[in-house]
Amino acid sequence: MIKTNNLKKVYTTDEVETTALNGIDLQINEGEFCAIMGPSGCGKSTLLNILGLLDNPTEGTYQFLSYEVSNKSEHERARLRKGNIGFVFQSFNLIDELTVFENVALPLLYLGIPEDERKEKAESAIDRMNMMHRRNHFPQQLSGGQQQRVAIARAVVANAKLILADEPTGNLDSDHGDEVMKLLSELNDQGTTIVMVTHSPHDAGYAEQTINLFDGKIVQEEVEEGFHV
Amino acid sequence: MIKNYLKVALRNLGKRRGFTFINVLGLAVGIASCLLIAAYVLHELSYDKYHEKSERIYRVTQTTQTSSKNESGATTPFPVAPTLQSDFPGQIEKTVRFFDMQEEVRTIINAQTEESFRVDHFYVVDSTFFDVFSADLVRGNPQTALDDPMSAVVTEEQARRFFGDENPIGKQVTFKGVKDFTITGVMKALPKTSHFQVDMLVSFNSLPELYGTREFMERWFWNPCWTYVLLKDGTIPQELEVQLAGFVDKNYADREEGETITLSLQSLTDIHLYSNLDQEMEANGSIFYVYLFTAVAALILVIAAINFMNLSTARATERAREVGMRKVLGAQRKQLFGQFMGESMLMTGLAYVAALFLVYLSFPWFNKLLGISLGVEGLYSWKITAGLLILFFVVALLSGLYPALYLSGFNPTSIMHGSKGTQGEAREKLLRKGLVVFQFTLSVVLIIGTVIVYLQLQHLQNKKVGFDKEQVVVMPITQTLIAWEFDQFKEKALKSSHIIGLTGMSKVLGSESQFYSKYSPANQSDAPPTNMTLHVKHDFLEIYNIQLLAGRSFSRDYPADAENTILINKSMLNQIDAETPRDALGTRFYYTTAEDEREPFEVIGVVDDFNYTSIKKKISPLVINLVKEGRPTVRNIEFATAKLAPGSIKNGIDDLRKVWKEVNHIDPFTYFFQDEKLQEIYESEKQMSSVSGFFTLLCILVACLGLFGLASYTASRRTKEIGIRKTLGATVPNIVALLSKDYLKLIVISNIIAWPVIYYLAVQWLQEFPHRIELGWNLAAIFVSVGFTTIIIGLLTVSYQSLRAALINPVESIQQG
Repeated sequence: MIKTNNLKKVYTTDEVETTALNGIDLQINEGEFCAIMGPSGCGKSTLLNILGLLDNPTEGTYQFLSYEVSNKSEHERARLRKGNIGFVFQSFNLIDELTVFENVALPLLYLGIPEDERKEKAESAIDRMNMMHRRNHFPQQLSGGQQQRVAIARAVVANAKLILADEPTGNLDSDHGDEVMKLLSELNDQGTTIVMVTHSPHDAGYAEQTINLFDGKIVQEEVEEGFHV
Repeated sequence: MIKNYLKVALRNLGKRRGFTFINVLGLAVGIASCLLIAAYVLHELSYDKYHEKSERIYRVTQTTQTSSKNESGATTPFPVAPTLQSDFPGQIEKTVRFFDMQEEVRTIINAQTEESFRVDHFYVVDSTFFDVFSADLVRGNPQTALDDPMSAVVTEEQARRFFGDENPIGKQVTFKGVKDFTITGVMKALPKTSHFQVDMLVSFNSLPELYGTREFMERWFWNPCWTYVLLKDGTIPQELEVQLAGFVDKNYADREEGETITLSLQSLTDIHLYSNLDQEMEANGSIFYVYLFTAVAALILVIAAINFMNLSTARATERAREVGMRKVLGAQRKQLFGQFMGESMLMTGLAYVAALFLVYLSFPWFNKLLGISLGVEGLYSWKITAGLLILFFVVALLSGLYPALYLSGFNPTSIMHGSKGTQGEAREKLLRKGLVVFQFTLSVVLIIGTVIVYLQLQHLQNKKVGFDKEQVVVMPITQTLIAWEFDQFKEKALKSSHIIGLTGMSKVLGSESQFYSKYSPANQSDAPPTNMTLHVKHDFLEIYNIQLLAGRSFSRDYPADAENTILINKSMLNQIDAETPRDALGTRFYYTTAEDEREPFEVIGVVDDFNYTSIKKKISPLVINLVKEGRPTVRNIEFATAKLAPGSIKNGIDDLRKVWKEVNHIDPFTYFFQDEKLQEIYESEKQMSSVSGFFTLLCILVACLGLFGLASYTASRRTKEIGIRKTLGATVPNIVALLSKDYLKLIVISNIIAWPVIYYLAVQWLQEFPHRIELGWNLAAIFVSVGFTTIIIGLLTVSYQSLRAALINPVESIQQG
């Protein structure tokens, strides 16, 4: 599903060059659960942005679903993103002005899905996260754990093949964090590919493959028994 | 999708109430100003367009030029109309003359009840009036109503005044107690948008009977008639105008030597806004104010739109997360663009509703301010509705386009960084600052402009007119019995202890009208054949306290004064080559009589210059001539003037009225105060300056609203910085200074940019006044004080927010950030 070759990302601001990623070779197959670990500033989020088609690499190739996407315009990337990739963020990133239901239904709206179907799919996704009783609430009225469950519902509502999670438990206490990890695990069991950035070895334990990043490079790949890189 | 946009937009507006309030209020004030001003402009532009044939109607005006005078008048001699009609039958369909008998008092008496009425808008007109102008006759036949001598048409209102509910047709009214008119028609009042108003029209062929002669109607010298021509279809007015030069040569036989007369055609619909000639029927409007107010309305709207742009883009980082997330979820730029445009439309829509409400509330008051009577219903026409729609989209686009483009352009990754790149943000900040400077520059220009207009008006009003105007009562007496019995009137009036003195004169001092007579210096070959002349009765200089520079005043001790002496003013010294007033004494003038005989007059006194005509005009050379006691003053003395004892205004007027009634049982007693008459001249300027002052205030209000919003936003964005600074030891004043400094700089820059602009405009504007304020140190003082005022207003606006931010507990602000 994901294959990168010598991926590089360089940021230039005010004549200072910062190399965030420096030659990443990576392969993640369909149905895998992969964790990316590393200290702050090692390039985890940059990698996730590129994998999620939110940003282009400076150098190297990236094949997503067998398409070469490293040089695609934002417009084309947006088309590929829609329906294929779901995002879960540390800070949830729900839109404050929309209710739980409206937040979850938003990707379907942009996919141009008719209202009846939208309602059905969104409600089913909310139901899966056990949030039906909160469907008409606004994000500010929910706890952090509940907000993240809504964010996950939003990520899966369009049947995304890939979910990218950027420290999904970072803002949650351990009970709520475990709850979220279990949900992601369940999704993975049902066939969704998951790539997760985390600081927590505990959370990384849910993954089948862990990639350690340091200064923009992969320093070590750990694979649980029975899996191959 | 649209439902979703609308929902988000509404929730957004509801959530950021302060932001919404500032934007909606600013835009509403801008739109309301536009609507009010549009109503006024449309009213001004609609003058005289109600006449069906308005596009073919022209007024003939006459310019008379000699070496010393240049008179542009709205009137022409009696024979112009009929001669034009017979000379240009192929081009001119009809002509109409208006003549007001040049009198201040027109008394109409119901022949049956003997009740007397004063009629203001009284004209002698040709019977073609109803063929040329669109006026509705409620009773009577428009074809024949003004055919017969001594027939009259009155408005419904006047008919009711004269006769109550009775049918007025065929009834008789007595004019000045001598001649009877028969009412032959009743007309509807003319619309307010007419450059002349009518109360009563009488037939032109009544004139020979009224004056006992028709000789004056054939003369080409006296020009008292407003003359209108209805051109035939297809006639090009410019072509006809060219032919009028030959017409003048052929017909104006009694022109003076060296006198050039030009006749011009003035489009009927241009008169109200573009004409400011001598002898206008009524005071006209001015296209200058139409332009000025339109510009001010546009400026207020632009300032309000800038507020919207600035506040929207300033809040951009706040919304970057939303934009990023929507893009992550698959939104395309055009969809987001649509969403933000939708928000600005919604905002504009809200502002519109508020604006309509504001207009509804302020309309009566706006009418009062302008001294007009517009109806709100005028705003319901399809033109206005279409204009409103266009304005709506212009405002929505103007204010929404830039923020929508800007906001929808964020990268989806901005969601990770939380803000846009530093470079982009710096550029935005610069643009925002530029816009704030633009807003305040406009405001400063408007404030200083208003101050200068105000000072100039004060200057004109306080200017020494050269004569006493307090405690002076003026009574129009032309064609009244008082004119015939002036001496008796004076003698009886002076018996009252409340009346100090009484005199008579040909024109009211300080009014627009002028009076030329054929007085000319005897020994100057290049002297003009006529000079402005004031005819007076004894005690004129004394009552008005006009200063005598040399010689003596008219005196009863010299019975021949009226026969062979004159006074001149200081400005006349030039014409007679006299160095000092004393040198002028004894100079000989000739008066050329109607029979072309030259009568000698000797200068016995020189008076200091005084404003015998409008203060707006320069003081020209003047001859003052005494009208002999005992001689009927019918022709030359149009006004009697009484000086009242201090504190005796009420009693003095009562006594004057009593004496008037004793001497004159026919004409009602009418009077006005000399000082009030002078005030009237500035009435329109005063009105306009208060209107522009008001809109200036609105302008500043809207600009400050924007500044307030921006300051509150900056304060909230810098909360964390403020917290850190405070933990490091910054005091509250330090913080306030830190936050306010930037904005104060912008206001100072605005002031400096505004100065040369306003200086240029002020110099241009003041050029039109012969008596104008000097722009020197006073201008610098205005600049500095307006600068300080705007800084203080800006400081108050900004520091409220800064202080609030500075007073937050530092722990809270750090956590917030």
